[in-house]
Amino acid sequence: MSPVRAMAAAAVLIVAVVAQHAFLPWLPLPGPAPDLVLVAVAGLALAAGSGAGTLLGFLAGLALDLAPPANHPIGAWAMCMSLAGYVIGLAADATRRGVAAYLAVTVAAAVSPVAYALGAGALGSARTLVGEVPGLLVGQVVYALLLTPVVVPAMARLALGRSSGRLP
Amino acid sequence: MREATATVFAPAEQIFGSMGRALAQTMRRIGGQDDQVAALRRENAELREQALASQVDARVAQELQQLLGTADRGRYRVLPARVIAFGPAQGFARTVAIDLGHRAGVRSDMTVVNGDGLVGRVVEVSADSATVLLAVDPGSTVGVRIADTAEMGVLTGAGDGRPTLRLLDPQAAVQPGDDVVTLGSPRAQPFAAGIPIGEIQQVRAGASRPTPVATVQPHVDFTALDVVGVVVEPSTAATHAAPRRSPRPITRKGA
Repeated sequence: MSPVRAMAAAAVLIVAVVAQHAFLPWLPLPGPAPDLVLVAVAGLALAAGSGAGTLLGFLAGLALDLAPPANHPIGAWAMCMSLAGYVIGLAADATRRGVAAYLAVTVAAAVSPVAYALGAGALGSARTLVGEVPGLLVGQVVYALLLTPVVVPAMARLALGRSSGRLP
Repeated sequence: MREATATVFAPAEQIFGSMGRALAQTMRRIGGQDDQVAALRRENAELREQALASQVDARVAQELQQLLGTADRGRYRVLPARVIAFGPAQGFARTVAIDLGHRAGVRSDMTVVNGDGLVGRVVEVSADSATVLLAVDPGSTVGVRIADTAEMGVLTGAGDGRPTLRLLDPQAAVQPGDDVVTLGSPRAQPFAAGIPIGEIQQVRAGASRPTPVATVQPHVDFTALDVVGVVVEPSTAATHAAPRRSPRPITRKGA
C-alpha cells in the first residue's frame, strides 16, 4: 500500500468515525447504529493485509476513543480495532476466497463489542450491561453484513487502486 | 487530549449531524407524521410540566422551598444547545455531544434538561462542544425525590432498560405513577433541584430488599434527543442555602 493511498485510507476512516457518531444515529433504523468503522477497517485489512490493517485499525480506534462524545478510557477502541485489523488481515493473507470477507466481517462484528467491553473494563470502566449484549450483537452482525458488499470493495479499491480478485 | 481533538471533531460532527437531522426530518415528513407528532409532543410536555409544577407547589412547596428551594424551577437560566453526536451503541455508554462548550459558559457538572425533564449532566467540555452523560447511562446516578411524599432515593441508569430507583427509607411508601424529581446538589451542580425525571413504573418490594426498589419510566425520550438546555445559572432560591453560621443550640433566656 503506497503512502498516498494509506493517507487517503486514514482520511476515509476519520470521516467514517464522524459519520458513525453524528450521521448514522439520526437515521430511523431499528437496533444499534451500524458499525461503519469496523467494516471499513475490515475492508482495508482484507485488501492490504495484516500490517496495514493493524495500523489503520489503530488509527480508526484512536479516533473513536477521542471524538466527542466519548468518555470511556482512551485506548479501548484503539486496542479493539487494531486487533480486528490484524486478525482480518491474517485471514486475508491465508485465503483468497471472496466468501472470506463476509466470514471475517461477521466474526469481527460479533467479537468487537465484547472485546471492547473487556478492554474498557480492564482500563477501569465497567459499565457494560450484559443483558444488552445479545441484542447488540444481532443488530451489529446484520448491519455489518449489509454494509460489506458496498464498503469492502470500496476500501479495496482505495487501498489497491483496482478491484481485487479475491474480494466480492 | 480529548479537549484538543474535540476542536477538530466537533465541527465535522456538527456538519454530519445537521445532514443526518435534515435527512431524518425529510423521511418523517414523507411519512406525514412529523408536524402532528411534534405538536402533540409539545402539548404533552407542557401539560405534564404544569401538572407537576402545581403538584409540587400545592403539596410541598413551602417545605421544599425551605429545604431546597425547588418550587421555582422556572427561574433557572438555561442555555439552549443542540445534540450533534451520539455515543455508539457498540460502546455501551449513553453519551451525547452538544454544540456548546466553555466559550459559551458551559462547565463540567452542569445539569442538562429538555422540555420533558432531566437529560443528564455535562462530563467533558472543550471550546465549542461538550459531552453529556445521559441519565440512562449505567454509570449515571442521580439523587431524587418522590414529588408527592418527598421521599429520597438514588436513581441509577440501566441503558436500554428503565432506570432503577432505590429509596433510602425502608418504610417509604411508593406506588406506580408517583412522579420522580431531582433532589438537587449544592450550587445546583451536578443536578439542579426539582427537575422532573419520570414516573414510577413498577415497585419491586420484598423481604429480601432492605429498602423499596422501583423502575422509573423517564419523561425524556433518550433515543430522540435534539434540542437540550444546559442549566448555567440556577435561581438563587433554587440552590441549597448554605448555613452562614455553624448551627448552635437554641438558648432560652431564663431557662
